[in-house]
Amino acid sequence: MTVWYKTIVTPLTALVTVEGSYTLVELAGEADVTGIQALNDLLEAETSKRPGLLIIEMSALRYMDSAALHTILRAHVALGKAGGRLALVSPSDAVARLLQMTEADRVVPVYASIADAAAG
Amino acid sequence: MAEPGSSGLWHAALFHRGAAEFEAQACQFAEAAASAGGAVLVTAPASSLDRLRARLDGLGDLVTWADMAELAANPGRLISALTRFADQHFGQAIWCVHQAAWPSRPAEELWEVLRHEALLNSALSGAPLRMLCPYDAGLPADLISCAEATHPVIAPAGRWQASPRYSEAARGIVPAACDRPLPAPPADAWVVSYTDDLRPLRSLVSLRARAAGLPSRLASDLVIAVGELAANTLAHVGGPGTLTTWTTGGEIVCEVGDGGHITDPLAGQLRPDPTAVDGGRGLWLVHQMCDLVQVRTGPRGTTIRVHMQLPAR
Repeated sequence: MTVWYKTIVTPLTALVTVEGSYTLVELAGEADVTGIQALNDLLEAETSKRPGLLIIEMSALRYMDSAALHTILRAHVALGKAGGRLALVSPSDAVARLLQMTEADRVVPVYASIADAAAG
Repeated sequence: MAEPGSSGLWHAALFHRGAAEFEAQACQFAEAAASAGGAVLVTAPASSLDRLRARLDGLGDLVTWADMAELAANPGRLISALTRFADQHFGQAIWCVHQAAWPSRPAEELWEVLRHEALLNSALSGAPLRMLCPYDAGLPADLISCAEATHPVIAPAGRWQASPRYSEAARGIVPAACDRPLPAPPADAWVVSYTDDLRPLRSLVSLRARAAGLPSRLASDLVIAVGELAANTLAHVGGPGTLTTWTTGGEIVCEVGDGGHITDPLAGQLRPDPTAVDGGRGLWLVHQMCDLVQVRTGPRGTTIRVHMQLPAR
């Protein structure tokens, strides 16, 4: 048996910027079940500030699992209740595949650019 | 109960000798469906589809054709695909010809076909669905016997009748013959254990898939599938788990093992609500992504083996 023991990895990082009319969360790396508590805390904190629009930019997010997707869908519900909206921008191929297979892309709008998302 | 015109689920196995007998029965079935105003779904390998399509041309848009290689190569997608088709034809009875068991199909796939025939009886019980499932009579006797036990209706002498081997009490229970232990992985398989970090596991799958020649889009699907399985370990079992991966002549195989027990035999079979925020997508996604999924679970642990076919070299 061959034992695999080491690899070079990139953790999940998030950069939050508050712009005039929206809050921008840029995710990079990989979002899986092991990081959902941190992602959940971040999205809950930003959602509780009741932004009119929360944009999650995903072009540098190389991987996302369904646990991370659930966290994003919960933020979508919470924002909707507060009268705001959530938008996803530029998912990478693997992330877009997950959104399409689960039809989450029919629940949360997906845009090609931050400008498109801001324009609604 | 024996005739396909009755209400509720009607699930029949047709044991046929040769393609002509199957095609004649399938055409009769589709014509009966059309005259009853039903929506018809034919899932079959491409060669069958071409011949049936030529004979049923007159039914036009009433029939939806699905190549088994695309819609439901993995038998674990069947129940989900049927519910989707039923949703798209809401208010209509669904008539489905489902040809999934042909003699040249590998045995491990045929047993999964039969497992899902059994699960269908409980998952879709009461649904306005008539299923005609042809089985080539030249299949091995243990497979034929299992098909008799998983289909409430058979037609041994050209007339539909209740299958003596089918037991209503065993409805939805996976037959033991479909649940035999999997053969051990080869000695040169790659192995990685995981407890709290899933990235090494995903990297290994990605690299092995690339080395095996799996196209990048399918390799990405395999990484998603294995990632979901391992995430289930951490979410439901608390770890640890083990990933084992190897290639055979025509496939790359990944196996995830952990100490959990999946008690619901329908886990992963039903299409999740796109708006659900509380889980339940993982195993369903695995079935959508992979060519074959084998689940073996019990109080002593769970092993899930997923297969991806490699392009012909």
